[in-house]
Amino acid sequence: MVDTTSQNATATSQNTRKGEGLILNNVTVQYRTAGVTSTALHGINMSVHPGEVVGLVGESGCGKSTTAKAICGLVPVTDGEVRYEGVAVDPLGFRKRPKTLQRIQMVFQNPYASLNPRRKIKAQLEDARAINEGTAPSVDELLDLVELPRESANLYPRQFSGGQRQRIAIARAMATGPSLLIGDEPIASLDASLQSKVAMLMKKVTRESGAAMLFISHDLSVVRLIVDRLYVMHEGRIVEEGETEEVWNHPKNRYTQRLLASIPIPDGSGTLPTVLE
Amino acid sequence: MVMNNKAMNTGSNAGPALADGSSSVEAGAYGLDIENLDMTLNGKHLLNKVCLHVEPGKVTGLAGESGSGKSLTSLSVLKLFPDDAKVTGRIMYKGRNLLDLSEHSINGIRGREIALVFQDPTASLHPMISIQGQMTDHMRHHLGLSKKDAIAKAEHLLAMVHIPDPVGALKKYPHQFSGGQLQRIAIAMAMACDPTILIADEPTTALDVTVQAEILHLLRELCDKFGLTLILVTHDLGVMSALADNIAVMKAGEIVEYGTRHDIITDPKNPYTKSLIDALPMNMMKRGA
Repeated sequence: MVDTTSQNATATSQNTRKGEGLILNNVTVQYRTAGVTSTALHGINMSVHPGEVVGLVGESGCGKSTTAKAICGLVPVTDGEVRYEGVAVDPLGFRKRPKTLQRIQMVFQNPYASLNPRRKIKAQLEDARAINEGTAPSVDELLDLVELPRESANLYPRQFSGGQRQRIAIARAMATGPSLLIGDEPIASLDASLQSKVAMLMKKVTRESGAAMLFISHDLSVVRLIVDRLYVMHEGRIVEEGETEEVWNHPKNRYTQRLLASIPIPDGSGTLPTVLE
Repeated sequence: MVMNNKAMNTGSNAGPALADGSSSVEAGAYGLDIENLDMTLNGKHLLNKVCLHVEPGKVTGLAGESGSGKSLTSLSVLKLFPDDAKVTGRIMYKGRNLLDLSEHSINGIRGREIALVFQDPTASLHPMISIQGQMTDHMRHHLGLSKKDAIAKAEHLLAMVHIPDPVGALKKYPHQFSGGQLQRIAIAMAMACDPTILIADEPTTALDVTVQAEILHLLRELCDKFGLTLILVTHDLGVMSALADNIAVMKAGEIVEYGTRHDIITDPKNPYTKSLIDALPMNMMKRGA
Protein backbone atom coordinates (compact mmCIF):
# COMPACT_ATOMS: atom_id res chain seq x y z
CA MET A 1 0.00 0.00 0.00
CA VAL A 2 2.67 2.41 1.09
CA ASP A 3 4.77 1.29 -1.87
CA THR A 4 2.05 2.05 -4.38
CA THR A 5 1.50 5.56 -3.05
CA SER A 6 5.15 6.33 -3.20
CA GLN A 7 5.30 4.91 -6.73
CA ASN A 8 2.34 7.08 -7.72
CA ALA A 9 4.02 10.06 -6.14
CA THR A 10 7.18 9.39 -8.11
CA ALA A 11 5.16 8.98 -11.29
CA THR A 12 3.31 12.27 -10.84
CA SER A 13 6.43 14.14 -9.87
CA GLN A 14 8.09 12.81 -13.00
CA ASN A 15 5.13 13.85 -15.11
CA THR A 16 5.19 17.39 -13.77
CA ARG A 17 8.92 17.47 -14.26
CA LYS A 18 8.45 16.53 -17.91
CA GLY A 19 6.82 19.88 -18.51
CA GLU A 20 8.94 21.99 -16.24
CA GLY A 21 11.30 23.17 -19.00
CA LEU A 22 14.61 24.65 -18.04
CA ILE A 23 15.38 25.48 -14.43
CA LEU A 24 18.51 27.12 -13.06
CA ASN A 25 18.55 26.73 -9.32
CA ASN A 26 21.03 28.90 -7.41
CA VAL A 27 23.71 28.41 -10.05
CA THR A 28 27.21 29.61 -9.25
CA VAL A 29 30.02 29.33 -11.80
CA GLN A 30 33.62 30.07 -10.98
CA TYR A 31 36.57 30.18 -13.33
CA ARG A 32 40.07 29.54 -12.11
CA THR A 33 42.93 30.96 -14.14
CA ALA A 34 46.53 30.98 -12.90
CA GLY A 35 45.38 30.21 -9.37
CA VAL A 36 43.00 33.17 -9.24
CA THR A 37 39.33 32.32 -8.81
CA SER A 38 36.77 34.64 -10.32
CA THR A 39 33.06 34.16 -9.87
CA ALA A 40 31.12 34.63 -13.11
CA LEU A 41 27.68 33.73 -11.77
CA HIS A 42 26.58 34.39 -8.19
CA GLY A 43 23.79 31.90 -7.48
CA ILE A 44 21.34 32.79 -10.22
CA ASN A 45 17.79 31.50 -10.49
CA MET A 46 16.07 31.32 -13.85
CA SER A 47 13.44 29.35 -15.69
CA VAL A 48 12.29 28.91 -19.25
CA HIS A 49 8.94 27.14 -19.55
CA PRO A 50 8.13 24.99 -22.58
CA GLY A 51 7.17 27.11 -25.59
CA GLU A 52 8.20 30.33 -23.92
CA VAL A 53 10.48 32.97 -25.49
CA VAL A 54 12.65 34.48 -22.78
CA GLY A 55 15.31 37.16 -23.05
CA LEU A 56 18.53 37.60 -21.08
CA VAL A 57 20.17 41.00 -21.39
CA GLY A 58 23.21 42.65 -19.88
CA GLU A 59 26.51 44.21 -20.84
CA SER A 60 29.70 42.41 -21.78
CA GLY A 61 31.30 40.50 -18.94
CA CYS A 62 28.09 40.23 -16.92
CA GLY A 63 27.83 36.44 -17.27
CA LYS A 64 25.37 36.03 -20.13
CA SER A 65 27.52 33.63 -22.13
CA THR A 66 28.55 31.72 -19.01
CA THR A 67 24.85 31.18 -18.35
CA ALA A 68 24.36 29.85 -21.89
CA LYS A 69 27.36 27.56 -21.53
CA ALA A 70 26.19 26.27 -18.14
CA ILE A 71 22.80 25.42 -19.65
CA CYS A 72 24.44 23.39 -22.41
CA GLY A 73 26.92 21.76 -20.05
CA LEU A 74 29.87 23.50 -21.68
CA VAL A 75 31.16 24.81 -18.34
CA PRO A 76 30.93 22.92 -15.04
CA VAL A 77 28.66 24.43 -12.42
CA THR A 78 30.47 25.14 -9.12
CA ASP A 79 27.33 25.20 -7.02
CA GLY A 80 23.61 24.84 -7.60
CA GLU A 81 21.85 22.91 -10.33
CA VAL A 82 20.79 23.20 -13.97
CA ARG A 83 17.87 20.93 -14.87
CA TYR A 84 16.08 20.42 -18.14
CA GLU A 85 12.78 18.53 -18.10
CA GLY A 86 13.86 16.99 -14.83
CA VAL A 87 17.25 15.81 -16.11
CA ALA A 88 20.30 17.34 -14.47
CA VAL A 89 22.70 18.91 -16.96
CA ASP A 90 26.17 17.47 -16.43
CA PRO A 91 29.30 18.88 -18.00
CA LEU A 92 29.67 17.63 -21.56
CA GLY A 93 32.17 14.82 -21.94
CA PHE A 94 32.95 12.16 -24.50
CA ARG A 95 29.99 9.96 -23.65
CA LYS A 96 26.65 10.39 -25.40
CA ARG A 97 24.26 12.88 -23.81
CA PRO A 98 20.83 11.83 -22.58
CA LYS A 99 18.17 12.19 -25.31
CA THR A 100 16.39 14.93 -23.35
CA LEU A 101 19.49 17.11 -23.25
CA GLN A 102 20.13 16.71 -26.97
CA ARG A 103 17.01 18.74 -27.47
CA ILE A 104 18.77 21.84 -26.18
CA GLN A 105 20.43 23.49 -29.16
CA MET A 106 22.56 26.56 -29.41
CA VAL A 107 23.01 29.27 -32.05
CA PHE A 108 26.29 31.13 -31.57
CA GLN A 109 27.27 34.73 -32.13
CA ASN A 110 29.64 34.29 -35.01
CA PRO A 111 28.28 32.29 -37.95
CA TYR A 112 31.71 32.52 -39.63
CA ALA A 113 33.20 30.42 -36.86
CA SER A 114 30.33 28.06 -36.16
CA LEU A 115 29.98 26.55 -39.63
CA ASN A 116 32.55 24.18 -41.10
CA PRO A 117 34.12 26.04 -44.04
CA ARG A 118 35.04 22.86 -45.94
CA ARG A 119 31.71 21.13 -46.02
CA LYS A 120 28.62 21.88 -48.06
CA ILE A 121 25.53 23.23 -46.35
CA LYS A 122 23.64 20.02 -47.14
CA ALA A 123 26.18 17.84 -45.33
CA GLN A 124 26.13 20.07 -42.27
CA LEU A 125 22.35 20.06 -42.10
CA GLU A 126 22.29 16.25 -42.60
CA ASP A 127 24.59 15.83 -39.58
CA ALA A 128 22.15 17.72 -37.44
CA ARG A 129 19.18 15.79 -38.86
CA ALA A 130 20.81 12.52 -37.84
CA ILE A 131 20.27 13.37 -34.17
CA ASN A 132 16.57 13.70 -34.77
CA GLU A 133 15.66 10.19 -35.96
CA GLY A 134 12.52 9.85 -38.05
CA THR A 135 10.87 13.20 -37.50
CA ALA A 136 13.55 15.56 -38.82
CA PRO A 137 12.40 18.03 -41.46
CA SER A 138 14.10 17.57 -44.85
CA VAL A 139 16.97 19.82 -45.93
CA ASP A 140 14.62 21.55 -48.38
CA GLU A 141 12.09 22.19 -45.63
CA LEU A 142 14.80 23.58 -43.38
CA LEU A 143 16.00 26.01 -46.03
CA ASP A 144 12.41 27.08 -46.68
CA LEU A 145 12.02 27.64 -42.97
CA VAL A 146 14.89 30.12 -42.79
CA GLU A 147 13.89 31.71 -46.11
CA LEU A 148 16.91 30.63 -48.15
CA PRO A 149 16.70 29.23 -51.70
CA ARG A 150 16.80 25.42 -51.86
CA GLU A 151 19.82 25.52 -54.19
CA SER A 152 21.84 26.77 -51.19
CA ALA A 153 22.25 23.15 -50.08
CA ASN A 154 25.04 22.55 -52.60
CA LEU A 155 27.09 25.60 -51.69
CA TYR A 156 29.81 26.23 -49.12
CA PRO A 157 29.55 28.67 -46.17
CA ARG A 158 31.97 31.13 -47.82
CA GLN A 159 29.45 31.69 -50.60
CA PHE A 160 27.01 33.29 -48.18
CA SER A 161 26.84 36.64 -46.43
CA GLY A 162 26.90 36.92 -42.62
CA GLY A 163 23.12 37.12 -42.34
CA GLN A 164 22.64 34.13 -44.62
CA ARG A 165 25.17 32.10 -42.64
CA GLN A 166 23.32 32.86 -39.44
CA ARG A 167 20.17 31.61 -41.14
CA ILE A 168 22.01 28.37 -41.97
CA ALA A 169 23.13 28.08 -38.33
CA ILE A 170 19.50 28.50 -37.26
CA ALA A 171 18.38 25.86 -39.78
CA ARG A 172 21.02 23.48 -38.43
CA ALA A 173 19.83 24.00 -34.88
CA MET A 174 16.22 23.43 -35.95
CA ALA A 175 17.12 20.24 -37.85
CA THR A 176 17.66 18.44 -34.56
CA GLY A 177 14.07 19.12 -33.52
CA PRO A 178 15.03 21.11 -30.43
CA SER A 179 12.60 21.83 -27.66
CA LEU A 180 14.83 24.61 -26.33
CA LEU A 181 16.89 26.92 -28.49
CA ILE A 182 19.63 29.01 -26.87
CA GLY A 183 20.72 32.03 -28.89
CA ASP A 184 23.96 33.42 -27.50
CA GLU A 185 24.17 36.90 -29.07
CA PRO A 186 23.01 35.44 -32.40
CA ILE A 187 22.54 38.88 -33.94
CA ALA A 188 25.54 40.76 -32.54
CA SER A 189 27.79 40.23 -35.55
CA LEU A 190 25.15 41.19 -38.09
CA ASP A 191 24.38 44.53 -39.72
CA ALA A 192 21.90 46.70 -37.86
CA SER A 193 19.38 46.33 -40.69
CA LEU A 194 19.52 42.54 -40.38
CA GLN A 195 19.41 42.22 -36.60
CA SER A 196 15.69 42.67 -36.16
CA LYS A 197 14.94 40.43 -39.15
CA VAL A 198 17.06 37.53 -37.89
CA ALA A 199 15.67 37.92 -34.37
CA MET A 200 12.12 37.80 -35.74
CA LEU A 201 13.02 34.76 -37.82
CA MET A 202 14.31 32.95 -34.72
CA LYS A 203 11.09 33.71 -32.94
CA LYS A 204 9.05 32.50 -35.92
CA VAL A 205 10.83 29.16 -36.26
CA THR A 206 10.68 28.40 -32.55
CA ARG A 207 7.01 29.35 -32.33
CA GLU A 208 6.13 27.21 -35.36
CA SER A 209 7.89 24.18 -33.93
CA GLY A 210 6.51 24.77 -30.44
CA ALA A 211 10.00 25.03 -28.96
CA ALA A 212 11.10 27.41 -26.25
CA MET A 213 13.89 29.92 -26.71
CA LEU A 214 16.34 31.72 -24.48
CA PHE A 215 17.52 34.76 -26.43
CA ILE A 216 20.70 36.29 -25.04
CA SER A 217 21.69 39.75 -26.19
CA HIS A 218 23.05 43.08 -25.08
CA ASP A 219 20.60 44.89 -27.33
CA LEU A 220 17.48 45.49 -25.31
CA SER A 221 15.60 47.18 -28.15
CA VAL A 222 15.83 44.05 -30.32
CA VAL A 223 15.15 41.68 -27.41
CA ARG A 224 12.01 43.64 -26.66
CA LEU A 225 10.69 42.83 -30.15
CA ILE A 226 10.55 39.11 -29.63
CA VAL A 227 10.46 37.99 -25.99
CA ASP A 228 7.54 37.53 -23.59
CA ARG A 229 9.59 37.74 -20.45
CA LEU A 230 13.09 38.92 -19.69
CA TYR A 231 15.91 38.79 -17.21
CA VAL A 232 18.40 41.62 -16.72
CA MET A 233 21.85 40.54 -15.61
CA HIS A 234 24.57 42.65 -14.04
CA GLU A 235 27.90 41.52 -12.60
CA GLY A 236 26.87 37.87 -12.44
CA ARG A 237 23.53 38.45 -10.78
CA ILE A 238 19.96 38.67 -12.04
CA VAL A 239 18.96 42.18 -11.03
CA GLU A 240 15.51 42.30 -12.57
CA GLU A 241 13.01 39.97 -14.14
CA GLY A 242 9.54 40.48 -15.52
CA GLU A 243 7.17 40.79 -18.47
CA THR A 244 8.97 42.58 -21.30
CA GLU A 245 6.78 45.66 -21.55
CA GLU A 246 6.64 46.01 -17.78
CA VAL A 247 10.44 46.05 -17.52
CA TRP A 248 10.76 48.34 -20.56
CA ASN A 249 8.24 50.88 -19.30
CA HIS A 250 8.71 50.63 -15.54
CA PRO A 251 12.22 49.42 -14.73
CA LYS A 252 12.65 49.06 -10.98
CA ASN A 253 16.32 48.28 -10.66
CA ARG A 254 18.83 51.13 -10.92
CA TYR A 255 21.01 49.23 -13.40
CA THR A 256 18.04 48.44 -15.66
CA GLN A 257 17.12 52.12 -15.61
CA ARG A 258 20.67 53.03 -16.60
CA LEU A 259 20.65 50.47 -19.40
CA LEU A 260 17.34 51.70 -20.79
CA ALA A 261 18.28 55.38 -20.56
CA SER A 262 21.46 54.85 -22.55
CA ILE A 263 19.76 53.38 -25.63
CA PRO A 264 19.90 56.03 -28.37
CA ILE A 265 16.50 56.57 -29.93
CA PRO A 266 16.60 56.92 -33.72
CA ASP A 267 14.01 59.68 -34.00
CA GLY A 268 16.10 62.23 -35.89
CA SER A 269 15.91 64.77 -33.07
CA GLY A 270 19.61 64.76 -32.23
CA THR A 271 18.98 63.91 -28.58
CA LEU A 272 21.90 62.26 -26.83
CA PRO A 273 21.07 59.24 -24.68
CA THR A 274 21.01 59.94 -20.96
CA VAL A 275 23.92 58.83 -18.79
CA LEU A 276 22.65 57.88 -15.34
CA GLU A 277 25.15 57.45 -12.54
CA MET B 1 26.85 71.64 -54.64
CA VAL B 2 28.57 68.34 -55.08
CA MET B 3 25.59 66.08 -54.60
CA ASN B 4 23.91 64.83 -57.70
CA ASN B 5 20.25 65.66 -57.91
CA LYS B 6 18.80 62.26 -57.29
CA ALA B 7 20.73 61.89 -54.07
CA MET B 8 19.95 65.34 -52.79
CA ASN B 9 17.18 65.91 -50.33
CA THR B 10 15.90 69.14 -51.77
CA GLY B 11 16.29 72.18 -49.60
CA SER B 12 17.55 70.19 -46.66
CA ASN B 13 21.21 70.97 -47.10
CA ALA B 14 21.51 74.44 -45.70
CA GLY B 15 25.28 74.35 -45.61
CA PRO B 16 27.31 76.85 -47.55
CA ALA B 17 28.64 75.72 -50.91
CA LEU B 18 32.40 75.89 -50.77
CA ALA B 19 33.67 76.74 -54.23
CA ASP B 20 37.26 75.90 -53.43
CA GLY B 21 36.80 74.09 -50.14
CA SER B 22 38.78 76.79 -48.36
CA SER B 23 36.21 79.10 -46.85
CA SER B 24 34.82 78.35 -43.44
CA VAL B 25 31.76 79.11 -41.37
CA GLU B 26 33.37 79.71 -38.03
CA ALA B 27 36.94 80.68 -37.52
CA GLY B 28 39.15 77.64 -37.43
CA ALA B 29 36.57 75.20 -38.75
CA TYR B 30 37.36 73.50 -42.03
CA GLY B 31 35.27 71.15 -44.07
CA LEU B 32 36.02 68.74 -46.85
CA ASP B 33 34.70 68.21 -50.32
CA ILE B 34 34.83 64.76 -51.76
CA GLU B 35 34.25 65.01 -55.49
CA ASN B 36 33.58 62.04 -57.77
CA LEU B 37 35.71 59.69 -55.69
CA ASP B 38 36.04 56.46 -57.62
CA MET B 39 38.02 53.41 -56.56
CA THR B 40 38.80 50.15 -58.29
CA LEU B 41 40.77 47.35 -56.68
CA ASN B 42 41.68 44.12 -58.48
CA GLY B 43 39.00 44.75 -61.08
CA LYS B 44 36.33 45.37 -58.44
CA HIS B 45 34.58 48.71 -58.46
CA LEU B 46 34.48 49.65 -54.76
CA LEU B 47 33.50 53.31 -54.81
CA ASN B 48 31.37 54.79 -57.55
CA LYS B 49 31.55 58.56 -58.04
CA VAL B 50 31.13 59.39 -54.37
CA CYS B 51 30.39 63.09 -53.83
CA LEU B 52 30.15 64.37 -50.30
CA HIS B 53 30.25 67.82 -48.83
CA VAL B 54 31.50 67.71 -45.25
CA GLU B 55 30.30 70.90 -43.61
CA PRO B 56 32.78 72.70 -41.41
CA GLY B 57 32.08 72.46 -37.70
CA LYS B 58 29.30 69.95 -38.24
CA VAL B 59 28.91 66.21 -37.78
CA THR B 60 28.56 64.38 -41.09
CA GLY B 61 27.39 60.81 -40.77
CA LEU B 62 28.14 57.99 -43.19
CA ALA B 63 25.60 55.22 -42.81
CA GLY B 64 25.19 51.91 -44.60
CA GLU B 65 25.66 48.18 -44.19
CA SER B 66 29.04 46.47 -43.99
CA GLY B 67 30.82 46.50 -47.32
CA SER B 68 28.97 49.56 -48.56
CA GLY B 69 32.16 51.62 -48.74
CA LYS B 70 31.61 53.96 -45.83
CA SER B 71 34.93 53.17 -44.12
CA LEU B 72 36.74 53.20 -47.46
CA THR B 73 35.38 56.66 -48.24
CA SER B 74 36.41 58.06 -44.87
CA LEU B 75 39.84 56.44 -44.93
CA SER B 76 40.47 57.73 -48.46
CA VAL B 77 40.57 61.22 -46.96
CA LEU B 78 43.92 60.27 -45.42
CA LYS B 79 44.94 58.18 -48.43
CA LEU B 80 44.68 55.05 -46.29
CA PHE B 81 43.74 52.69 -49.07
CA PRO B 82 45.58 49.71 -50.57
CA ASP B 83 48.61 50.60 -52.71
CA ASP B 84 47.26 48.95 -55.84
CA ALA B 85 43.85 50.65 -55.68
CA LYS B 86 43.06 52.83 -58.69
CA VAL B 87 41.60 56.06 -57.37
CA THR B 88 40.20 58.99 -59.30
CA GLY B 89 38.36 62.11 -58.21
CA ARG B 90 39.30 64.83 -55.77
CA ILE B 91 39.20 65.34 -52.01
CA MET B 92 39.46 69.08 -51.45
CA TYR B 93 40.71 70.34 -48.11
CA LYS B 94 41.90 73.92 -47.56
CA GLY B 95 42.07 74.38 -51.33
CA ARG B 96 44.29 71.37 -51.88
CA ASN B 97 43.48 68.00 -53.36
CA LEU B 98 44.53 65.49 -50.69
CA LEU B 99 44.78 62.72 -53.27
CA ASP B 100 47.53 64.64 -55.13
CA LEU B 101 49.71 65.03 -52.05
CA SER B 102 52.95 63.13 -51.73
CA GLU B 103 53.35 60.57 -48.96
CA HIS B 104 55.51 63.10 -47.12
CA SER B 105 52.93 65.90 -47.35
CA ILE B 106 49.98 63.71 -46.37
CA ASN B 107 51.96 62.51 -43.35
CA GLY B 108 51.99 66.11 -42.20
CA ILE B 109 48.20 66.07 -42.25
CA ARG B 110 47.56 62.58 -40.86
CA GLY B 111 47.01 62.87 -37.14
CA ARG B 112 47.94 66.56 -37.26
CA GLU B 113 45.03 68.20 -39.06
CA ILE B 114 42.85 65.22 -39.77
CA ALA B 115 42.79 62.60 -37.03
CA LEU B 116 41.25 59.15 -36.79
CA VAL B 117 39.49 57.13 -34.12
CA PHE B 118 38.98 53.45 -34.90
CA GLN B 119 36.34 50.95 -33.89
CA ASP B 120 38.28 48.74 -31.53
CA PRO B 121 40.61 50.54 -29.10
CA THR B 122 42.07 47.25 -27.90
CA ALA B 123 43.38 46.76 -31.43
CA SER B 124 44.33 50.34 -32.24
CA LEU B 125 46.49 50.88 -29.16
CA HIS B 126 49.84 49.14 -28.80
CA PRO B 127 49.61 46.56 -26.00
CA MET B 128 53.24 46.81 -24.94
CA ILE B 129 53.81 50.56 -24.94
CA SER B 130 52.62 52.63 -21.98
CA ILE B 131 49.87 55.18 -22.51
CA GLN B 132 52.47 57.91 -22.06
CA GLY B 133 54.68 56.48 -24.77
CA GLN B 134 51.79 56.21 -27.22
CA MET B 135 50.33 59.59 -26.43
CA THR B 136 53.48 61.68 -26.58
CA ASP B 137 55.06 60.16 -29.66
CA HIS B 138 53.06 61.97 -32.33
CA MET B 139 52.91 65.21 -30.31
CA ARG B 140 56.69 65.37 -30.28
CA HIS B 141 56.82 64.55 -33.98
CA HIS B 142 54.08 66.86 -35.24
CA LEU B 143 54.24 69.70 -32.73
CA GLY B 144 57.94 69.50 -31.88
CA LEU B 145 57.23 69.49 -28.15
CA SER B 146 59.85 68.60 -25.58
CA LYS B 147 59.26 65.38 -23.65
CA LYS B 148 58.21 67.33 -20.57
CA ASP B 149 55.74 69.51 -22.48
CA ALA B 150 54.32 66.50 -24.30
CA ILE B 151 53.70 64.72 -21.00
CA ALA B 152 52.03 67.80 -19.56
CA LYS B 153 49.81 68.05 -22.63
CA ALA B 154 48.97 64.34 -22.43
CA GLU B 155 47.81 64.80 -18.82
CA HIS B 156 45.68 67.71 -19.90
CA LEU B 157 44.16 65.67 -22.73
CA LEU B 158 43.35 62.72 -20.48
CA ALA B 159 41.62 65.08 -18.06
CA MET B 160 39.68 66.50 -21.00
CA VAL B 161 38.28 63.06 -21.91
CA HIS B 162 37.47 62.43 -18.24
CA ILE B 163 39.99 59.73 -17.44
CA PRO B 164 40.29 59.52 -13.65
CA ASP B 165 43.84 60.16 -12.32
CA PRO B 166 45.52 61.26 -15.60
CA VAL B 167 49.02 61.25 -14.07
CA GLY B 168 48.67 57.64 -12.93
CA ALA B 169 47.00 56.63 -16.19
CA LEU B 170 50.02 57.68 -18.24
CA LYS B 171 52.15 55.05 -16.53
CA LYS B 172 49.68 52.26 -17.26
CA TYR B 173 49.32 49.92 -20.22
CA PRO B 174 46.22 49.33 -22.39
CA HIS B 175 45.29 46.03 -20.69
CA GLN B 176 44.77 47.90 -17.43
CA PHE B 177 41.81 49.84 -18.81
CA SER B 178 38.27 48.91 -19.80
CA GLY B 179 37.13 49.21 -23.42
CA GLY B 180 35.32 52.48 -22.77
CA GLN B 181 38.34 54.03 -21.03
CA LEU B 182 40.58 52.91 -23.89
CA GLN B 183 38.28 54.54 -26.43
CA ARG B 184 38.50 57.76 -24.38
CA ILE B 185 42.29 57.49 -24.51
CA ALA B 186 42.18 56.87 -28.28
CA ILE B 187 40.02 59.98 -28.64
CA ALA B 188 42.44 61.97 -26.48
CA MET B 189 45.30 60.83 -28.72
CA ALA B 190 43.38 61.88 -31.82
CA MET B 191 42.78 65.31 -30.28
CA ALA B 192 46.43 65.74 -29.29
CA CYS B 193 47.49 67.88 -32.26
CA ASP B 194 44.32 70.00 -32.27
CA PRO B 195 42.97 68.54 -35.52
CA THR B 196 40.37 70.41 -37.56
CA ILE B 197 38.71 67.22 -38.72
CA LEU B 198 38.13 64.04 -36.76
CA ILE B 199 37.15 60.84 -38.53
CA ALA B 200 35.44 58.39 -36.18
CA ASP B 201 35.03 54.97 -37.78
CA GLU B 202 32.39 53.08 -35.79
CA PRO B 203 33.67 54.62 -32.53
CA THR B 204 31.08 52.96 -30.29
CA THR B 205 30.31 49.68 -32.06
CA ALA B 206 32.63 47.62 -29.85
CA LEU B 207 31.31 49.18 -26.65
CA ASP B 208 28.44 48.44 -24.29
CA VAL B 209 25.38 50.60 -24.68
CA THR B 210 25.91 52.36 -21.34
CA VAL B 211 29.52 53.16 -22.29
CA GLN B 212 28.42 54.12 -25.79
CA ALA B 213 26.18 56.81 -24.31
CA GLU B 214 29.17 58.26 -22.43
CA ILE B 215 31.37 58.31 -25.54
CA LEU B 216 28.61 59.99 -27.56
CA HIS B 217 28.44 62.70 -24.91
CA LEU B 218 32.21 63.11 -25.06
CA LEU B 219 32.23 63.45 -28.86
CA ARG B 220 29.41 66.01 -28.72
CA GLU B 221 31.32 67.94 -26.04
CA LEU B 222 34.50 68.02 -28.15
CA CYS B 223 32.62 69.14 -31.26
CA ASP B 224 30.95 71.97 -29.36
CA LYS B 225 34.08 73.04 -27.51
CA PHE B 226 36.54 73.06 -30.41
CA GLY B 227 34.28 73.58 -33.43
CA LEU B 228 35.55 70.23 -34.64
CA THR B 229 34.36 68.85 -37.96
CA LEU B 230 33.41 65.23 -37.35
CA ILE B 231 32.97 62.49 -39.93
CA LEU B 232 31.03 59.78 -38.14
CA VAL B 233 30.95 56.35 -39.74
CA THR B 234 28.41 53.98 -38.22
CA HIS B 235 25.78 51.44 -39.20
CA ASP B 236 23.79 52.23 -36.06
CA LEU B 237 21.06 54.73 -36.88
CA GLY B 238 20.44 55.31 -33.19
CA VAL B 239 23.99 56.62 -32.81
CA MET B 240 23.57 58.56 -36.03
CA SER B 241 20.39 60.19 -34.80
CA ALA B 242 22.06 61.19 -31.54
CA LEU B 243 25.12 62.85 -33.03
CA ALA B 244 25.01 63.57 -36.76
CA ASP B 245 23.86 66.87 -38.28
CA ASN B 246 23.84 65.55 -41.84
CA ILE B 247 23.65 61.95 -42.97
CA ALA B 248 24.84 60.32 -46.17
CA VAL B 249 23.53 56.82 -46.77
CA MET B 250 25.81 54.50 -48.73
CA LYS B 251 25.06 51.32 -50.59
CA ALA B 252 27.40 49.28 -52.79
CA GLY B 253 29.95 52.09 -53.06
CA GLU B 254 27.47 54.84 -53.87
CA ILE B 255 25.81 57.55 -51.86
CA VAL B 256 22.12 56.90 -52.38
CA GLU B 257 20.78 59.68 -50.21
CA TYR B 258 22.06 62.75 -48.40
CA GLY B 259 20.21 65.15 -46.18
CA THR B 260 19.80 66.53 -42.70
CA ARG B 261 19.51 64.10 -39.82
CA HIS B 262 15.85 64.84 -39.34
CA ASP B 263 14.92 64.43 -43.00
CA ILE B 264 16.83 61.19 -43.48
CA ILE B 265 15.45 59.51 -40.38
CA THR B 266 11.88 60.74 -40.39
CA ASP B 267 11.27 61.16 -44.13
CA PRO B 268 13.63 59.01 -46.19
CA LYS B 269 13.15 59.29 -49.96
CA ASN B 270 15.37 56.52 -51.27
CA PRO B 271 13.94 52.96 -51.11
CA TYR B 272 17.17 51.64 -49.58
CA THR B 273 17.18 54.29 -46.85
CA LYS B 274 13.53 53.47 -46.24
CA SER B 275 14.36 49.80 -45.78
CA LEU B 276 17.08 50.70 -43.26
CA ILE B 277 14.70 52.89 -41.28
CA ASP B 278 11.96 50.26 -41.44
CA ALA B 279 14.33 47.64 -40.02
CA LEU B 280 14.84 49.63 -36.81
CA PRO B 281 13.43 47.69 -33.86
CA MET B 282 11.42 50.75 -32.86
CA ASN B 283 9.68 50.87 -36.23
CA MET B 284 9.13 47.11 -36.43
CA MET B 285 7.46 47.40 -33.04
CA LYS B 286 5.16 50.17 -34.31
CA ARG B 287 4.06 48.05 -37.24
CA GLY B 288 3.04 45.41 -34.71
CA ALA B 289 5.44 42.86 -36.12
